[in-house]
Amino acid sequence: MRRLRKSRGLTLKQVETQAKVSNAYISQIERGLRRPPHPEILRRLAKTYDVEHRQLLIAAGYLEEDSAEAIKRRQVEEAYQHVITDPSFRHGTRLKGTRVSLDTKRLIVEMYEKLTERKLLKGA
Amino acid sequence: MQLLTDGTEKNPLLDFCLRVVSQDVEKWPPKEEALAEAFVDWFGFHSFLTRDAMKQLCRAKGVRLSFDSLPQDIRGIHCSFQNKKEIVITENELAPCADSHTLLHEFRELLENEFMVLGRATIGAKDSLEVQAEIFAIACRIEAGKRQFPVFLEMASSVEKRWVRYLGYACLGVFALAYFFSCIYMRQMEEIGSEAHR
Repeated sequence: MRRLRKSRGLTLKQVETQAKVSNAYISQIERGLRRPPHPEILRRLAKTYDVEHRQLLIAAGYLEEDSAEAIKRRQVEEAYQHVITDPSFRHGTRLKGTRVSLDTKRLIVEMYEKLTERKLLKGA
Repeated sequence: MQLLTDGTEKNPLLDFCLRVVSQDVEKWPPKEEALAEAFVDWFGFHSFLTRDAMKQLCRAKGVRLSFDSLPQDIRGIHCSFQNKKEIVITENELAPCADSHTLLHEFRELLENEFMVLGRATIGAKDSLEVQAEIFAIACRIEAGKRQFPVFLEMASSVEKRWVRYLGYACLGVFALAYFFSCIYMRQMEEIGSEAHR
């Protein structure tokens, strides 16, 4: 949680204001002094940190790891659908077979993000 | 990307396509071999390019080229957005000259995008750009070879000692045969390389 907050460049005070969660409580969660917060608090934190609510639920142990994989897959598929329907972005691959793998779809999305400077994947 | 004096970005690929369109307007679409010949001239493609040389040539044409570890199912990828163009080629290909083949394949697909912008697509609805890009890559490599081997032949013929000269001819013959074989059967060679890599 601390790494996530730092990566967003937020202070405890800023998180407190935006997520309406006391900074002392967040600090304790980050240091592992408290049990995982309630899903509702995680929802507010997810919004503040701009990540999927499900990701925090998984990190807190509310969801199974298998669902985490499924979520990642779904996120990549959704982002890929967005990319291939954007007429301003063109791409092509030299495939070994005929099917585009999930890893390749992720790569295409990442290249889209790089060239267009738009963020589609949230830590997937 | 080069900037023009009015602040708009220059697109060398589009310029090239415009030239091809204006030259071949009567007999559109051009044959892949004819397109390959024009491309080899314009791009400065040689049969044996190092990765750095490829990067330099691409940069001069407004395309960013890099080599990276790619997912198992692809050999290369290209993307374009506005005037930003990028090609990434797998760094794990074992077959000789596979890099340049993939580069040419990706370039052909980028060129098609520009032809489409000009309203002059070369690929019909039933045709596959993937297949045409493969033919284009083969045609470019053969064209480059056709230009380079006479130079090697000239070098061999300038050798004074007769037996060394004949040995040079023989080696060059074998080498040329292997080169043209590799142009045509690149995909098969890559498959063998992939199998060996696993």
